[in-house]
Amino acid sequence: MSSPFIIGLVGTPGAGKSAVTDYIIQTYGGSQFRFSDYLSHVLQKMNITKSRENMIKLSVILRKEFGEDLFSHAVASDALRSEDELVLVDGIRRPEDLAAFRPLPNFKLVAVNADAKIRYDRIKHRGEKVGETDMTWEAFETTERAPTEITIPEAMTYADFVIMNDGGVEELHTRIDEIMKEIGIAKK
Amino acid sequence: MSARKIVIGIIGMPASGKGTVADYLQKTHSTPKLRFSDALSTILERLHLEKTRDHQITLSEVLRETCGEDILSRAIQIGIQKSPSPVIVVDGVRREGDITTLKEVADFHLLGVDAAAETRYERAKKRAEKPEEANQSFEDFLKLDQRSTELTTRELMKQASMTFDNNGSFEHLYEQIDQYLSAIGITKNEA
Repeated sequence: MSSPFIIGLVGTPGAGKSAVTDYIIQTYGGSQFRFSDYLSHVLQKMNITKSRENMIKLSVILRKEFGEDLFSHAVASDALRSEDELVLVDGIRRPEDLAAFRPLPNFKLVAVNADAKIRYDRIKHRGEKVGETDMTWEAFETTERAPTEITIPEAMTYADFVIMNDGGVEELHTRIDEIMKEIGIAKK
Repeated sequence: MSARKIVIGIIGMPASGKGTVADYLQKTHSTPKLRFSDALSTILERLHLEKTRDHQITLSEVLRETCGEDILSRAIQIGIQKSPSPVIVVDGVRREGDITTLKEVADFHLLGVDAAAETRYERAKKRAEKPEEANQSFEDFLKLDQRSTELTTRELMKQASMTFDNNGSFEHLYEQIDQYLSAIGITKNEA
């Protein structure tokens, strides 16, 4: 059995990572692995509330004790064992998350970005998390500087492909198709 | 109203025979065995970390620091409550908090098991339950006795209702267990 092709995704809040993932899986097939699932599992096993605060606390200390690339290796090990031909890895936020992936010949990193004002508008309109609909511009800028988000621009510099998602859905899909064609992955 | 469950907590230094006592109880009294380290092992597996004692201790410290001192006790409380058995064995009681939490959900008996350090070392080498046990030196083995999780063990063992001497044979250990259990009214399986 050969290893799957792995596409890693990194992007700023509201840039449209979910839209990208959904479209790829719908059109090209494949399965998804999320960094956050590994943290969730720990919290769930210990019956701890899955709050953002707990996730961050646990993430910081696990990385401190077991290495900054802890989750990178865990996710990579599972992704490589997948039976699918294509695997998407979601939730990359810092360069250390790439440690286990960059050496792989069958890995590409795709960055998803958009103009800050556009991302802000999207977040307000989707109201995905509590408080998002009422978020002020200042609050938005503050979250961009949170410890979990501030490393994203640096991680994005390692991208093989960048999607600037400032337009509509059609444009996004065209751009994704362009990238998939260049990587050499056919639609299902 | 359902009767309160009985929990037998086993306490002892590394490789003193806690697992042996638990296995014997399971065989002769059908008591399921829970370990505080069960959740730790599952998590280490998911994180693709080797299940060494060192990793278990570090992870245990991480979880206690982020989620509270009694985090592992709470996980086991739920395991006890979910179990269909009226008598449950908990292997590896180490802290005062462990005892308090177990007493909260059951009629609790603390049983100790002990053996000389050299004997424990030899047995650890033979069974190699954890990857590093087969080749470690006696000095390294003794160092583990000094890790945070074991320092309280010696002290806490003084609270045990009974401490079994496991320096001898299996039969010698089993005899002591049988005697104690019949004294507290826990019956064996029918032969």
